[in-house]
Amino acid sequence: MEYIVLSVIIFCIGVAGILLRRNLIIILMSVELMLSASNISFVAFSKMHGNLDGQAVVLLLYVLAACEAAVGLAIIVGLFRLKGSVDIQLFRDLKK
Amino acid sequence: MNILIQSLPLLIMPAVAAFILLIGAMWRRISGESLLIMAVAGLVAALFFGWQGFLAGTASFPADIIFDKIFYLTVIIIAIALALAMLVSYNYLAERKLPWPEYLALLLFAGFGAGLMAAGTDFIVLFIGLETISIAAYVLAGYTRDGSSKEASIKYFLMGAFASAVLLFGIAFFYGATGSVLLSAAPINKLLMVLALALIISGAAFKVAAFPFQWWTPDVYEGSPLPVTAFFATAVKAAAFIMLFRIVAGISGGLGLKFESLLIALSVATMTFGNLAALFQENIKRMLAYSSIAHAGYMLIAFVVLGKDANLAGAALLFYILAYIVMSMGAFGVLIYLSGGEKEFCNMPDVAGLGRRSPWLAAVFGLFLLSLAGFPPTAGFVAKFYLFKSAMAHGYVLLVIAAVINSLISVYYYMRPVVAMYFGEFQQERSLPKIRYSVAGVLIFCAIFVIILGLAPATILAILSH
Repeated sequence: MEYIVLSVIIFCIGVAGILLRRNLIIILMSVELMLSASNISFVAFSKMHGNLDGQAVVLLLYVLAACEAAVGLAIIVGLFRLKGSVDIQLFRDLKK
Repeated sequence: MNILIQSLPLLIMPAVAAFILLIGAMWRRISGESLLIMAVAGLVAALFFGWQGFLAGTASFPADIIFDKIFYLTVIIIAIALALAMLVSYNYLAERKLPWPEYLALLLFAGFGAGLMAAGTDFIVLFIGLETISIAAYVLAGYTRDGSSKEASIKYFLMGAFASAVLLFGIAFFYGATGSVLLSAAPINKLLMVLALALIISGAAFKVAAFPFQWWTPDVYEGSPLPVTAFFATAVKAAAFIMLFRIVAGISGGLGLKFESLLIALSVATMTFGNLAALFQENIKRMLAYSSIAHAGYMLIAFVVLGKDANLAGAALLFYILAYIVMSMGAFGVLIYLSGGEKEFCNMPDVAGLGRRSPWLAAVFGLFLLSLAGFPPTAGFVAKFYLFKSAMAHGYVLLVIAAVINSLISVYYYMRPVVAMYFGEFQQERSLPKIRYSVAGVLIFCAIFVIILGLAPATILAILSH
C-alpha cells in the first residue's frame, strides 16, 4: 500500500513539473517521472495480487518510455537549433 | 500457419516500412516516386489481405489479440486513408525537397499502430498501438524545417506524452482493481476501478480531442505541414476512435457499468465547442481543425448507443469514420493543390475568386464542404442521418436535437469559403499552380467516393454492419 502512495506522489510531482516548469528538458523529465510512477504502481499491484502480469508489463513500458524520450529529445534539439534556447515561452507563434 | 495468414494485413505494413527505410538508406539516389509506389503497393496488399480476412471471419490469437470483422474493416479503412495521405503529399514533399523514406516509413508504422489499436483485447496491446501511432505522429508534425511545424511538433509531443502517462496510470490502477490487464476483467476493488476509469477516459478523450481536452488540436493542426494535418484528421482520428470503441465496449461488457450520461455530456460539449470556435476562423486549416473537433462530438454519439446495441453503434461509427476520412482528405487535398512553392495558402482571401479561376477545383472544394456540413446527397448527410437515426431508435431524442442544431450552426462556417470562392474578388498577383496529377487523382477519388456514399450507401452499410 505504501508503494501505491509513493507512486501517486511521484505522479503528482510529474504533473506539477509539467505545469510549472518552463525548461523543455525538465518538462520531458517530468513526463518520464509520470511514466515511472505507473511502473512503480504496476509492480506494487503485481505483488498485491500475487501474479506476474504487472512485472512483465513494466518491461514493455520501459521500451516505450525510452522511445518517447528519444523522440522528445530529438524534437527539443531541433527547437534548440531554431531559437538557441529551450525555454517554452519562446515557442508561441501559433495562435492561442 | 493460419494465424500468420490472418495477421498478414497487420504485419505487411511494418515489413514494407522497414524495407523502404533500408532501401532508402542503402541506395541514396532512389527516386521518391518508386518509394511511394512501393509504399502504396504495400497498403493495397494490406487492403487485399484485410478483405480476405474479413471474408474468412473471426480468428483469435492466443495472446490478447482478436482478429474480428471490426479489426479487418479498420485495417481496410486505415489503409485507404494512409494511401490517400501518401499520394496527396507527393508534390508537397517533392517541391520542398523533403526526404521520402522516413516519411513513408513513419506513415506505415503509424498504420501498424492503428491496426494494433483495433485488434487489442488487452490494455497493454492497445497502449503499445497508441504509442506507435503517436510517436510517428510527433515526428511527422515537425517534418518541415520551419518554426511553426517544429512548434506544432513539441506541443503535440508534450500534450500527447502527458495524455499517454495519464492513460497509463489509469491502466496501472485498472490492473490494481482487477488483477489483470484484460479489457473484460471484473473488478475486485470498486474504488480503485472508479479512479482507473476516470484516468483512462480522460487519457482516451485527449487522444480523440473530446471537449475538456481538445485545446491542443487547433495549434497542432495549424502548425503541421498540410499533408500531415490531413493524416492527423483522418487516420490518427479513426484509430483513436476505434481504440475508444474497444475500451468502452470491453469495459461495459465486463462490468455492466454504465457511463451513458458522461458520454452524452462529452458528446454535446465537444460538438458545441468545435462548431462555435470554428465560426470566426480566418485560416481554413484552423477552421477544419475545429470542424474535426465538432465531428468528434458527433462520433461520440455512437458510444452512447454502444451500451444498447453494439452492432448498430459499430456500423454507424465505422460509416461515419469512412465518410469523414474521404471528405476531410478531399478538403485538405484542395488546400494542398493550392499551396504551391514554399508557402501554404490556407487563408480565406487565398480561395477568393477560385470559382472563376479554376471552376473544377472550386466545385470539388464546395462538394467536400457541403458534405462536411451534412447536405444531401453527400456522404456527410448519410453518415449523420444513420448515426442520428441509431440514437433516435434508442430514445436519445434530446441528444439528437442538440446534434441537429449543431449541424445547422456548422453550415455557416462551411459556407464562408464557398461564398468567398464564388463571390470574392479575384487575386491577380498569384498565378494558378501547374496541374498536380497525384493530388488531382486523390481529389477525384474522394469526390466520387463522397457521391457514391451519399447516393448508394446500402452496399457499404451492409458490409459495415456485417
